[in-house]
Amino acid sequence: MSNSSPIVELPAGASSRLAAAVQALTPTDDSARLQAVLELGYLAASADGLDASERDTLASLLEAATGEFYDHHAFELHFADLDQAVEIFGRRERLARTTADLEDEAARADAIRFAALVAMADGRLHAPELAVLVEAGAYFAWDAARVRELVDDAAARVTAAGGGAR
Amino acid sequence: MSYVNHMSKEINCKIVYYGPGLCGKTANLQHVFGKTRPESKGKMISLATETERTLFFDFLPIDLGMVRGFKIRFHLYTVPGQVFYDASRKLILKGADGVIFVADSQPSRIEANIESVENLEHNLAAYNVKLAQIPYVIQYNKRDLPDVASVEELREALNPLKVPEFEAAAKAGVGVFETLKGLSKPVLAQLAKQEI
Repeated sequence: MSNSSPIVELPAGASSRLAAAVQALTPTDDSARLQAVLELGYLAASADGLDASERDTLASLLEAATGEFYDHHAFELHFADLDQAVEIFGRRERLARTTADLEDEAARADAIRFAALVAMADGRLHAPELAVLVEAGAYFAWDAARVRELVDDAAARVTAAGGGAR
Repeated sequence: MSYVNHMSKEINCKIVYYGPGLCGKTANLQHVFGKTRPESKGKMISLATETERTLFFDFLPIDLGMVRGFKIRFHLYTVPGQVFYDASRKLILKGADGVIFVADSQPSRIEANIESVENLEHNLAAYNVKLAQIPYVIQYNKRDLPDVASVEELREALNPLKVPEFEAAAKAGVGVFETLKGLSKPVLAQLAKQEI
């Protein structure tokens, strides 16, 4: 919902590859980690607010990526739950709690990539969304440059050969 | 106001340890954390800003069972008690399902305890909540120190609502779980009344 210039903008056509890229990064063997990456993605995507159509897009993306387990309605309900969690427990507290469930380097890197792609469900990543990812990275003792590398890597996964995220 | 996670089938309750500075809130949290099985708890998290620190962790108390098919997860929070951290304390109280007031039993701290209870009432009022309306217990901590105030004196000063009260020596782990269990009962009773 940000009016600022995007930090990353996916080229036309990349959106159609988002679900497959998100799916490839979705944990399937650990429900706590799945919960953590979903919440991290939601915290990033909602950093600058989410209107109804953005929620719908996000739910559709996650349904396409995890549809074997959860449908569109389940995600709508889950977003409402996460909104309540943020309201009661605090956004920074939830981010701290969520990152605590990501234990190894590879899982952490994939979680940042996953969250970046979820935040780019509308084709763009804005500064407030990146700030959440940088804050998450700080819990792993990663600097902003490291997080930005992961964001760019995530964007590259949905960018057609020869195209490029800016 | 608990938060229900339908996906993980959990009801998340927020329990806040309140009290004056150095009364033993953190000691309570650390004891519960230390004595909870690893598989039942999340990490202890210390969230620091430039000036203040929030300490919290969550856990699944196994003997509390389930409510309508949902597991209960308790999130225990504490914030520094010093007077100047009031904004943080107020924020942490938002949505609290229950409050444990940790009182310092030393006679020299009675005034600080009274101010802290008043501050608790004031901060809850910002959310239109009265102390008498939420699950609330009092812990008289540091009972292992010499020359502490009597329980009768503390009760007179701090417990006009006659809520459940517990004696403790939190650093030694005495009375810590008893206090938490004392609060758990009314929290669960409230949950049972809520719609999921």
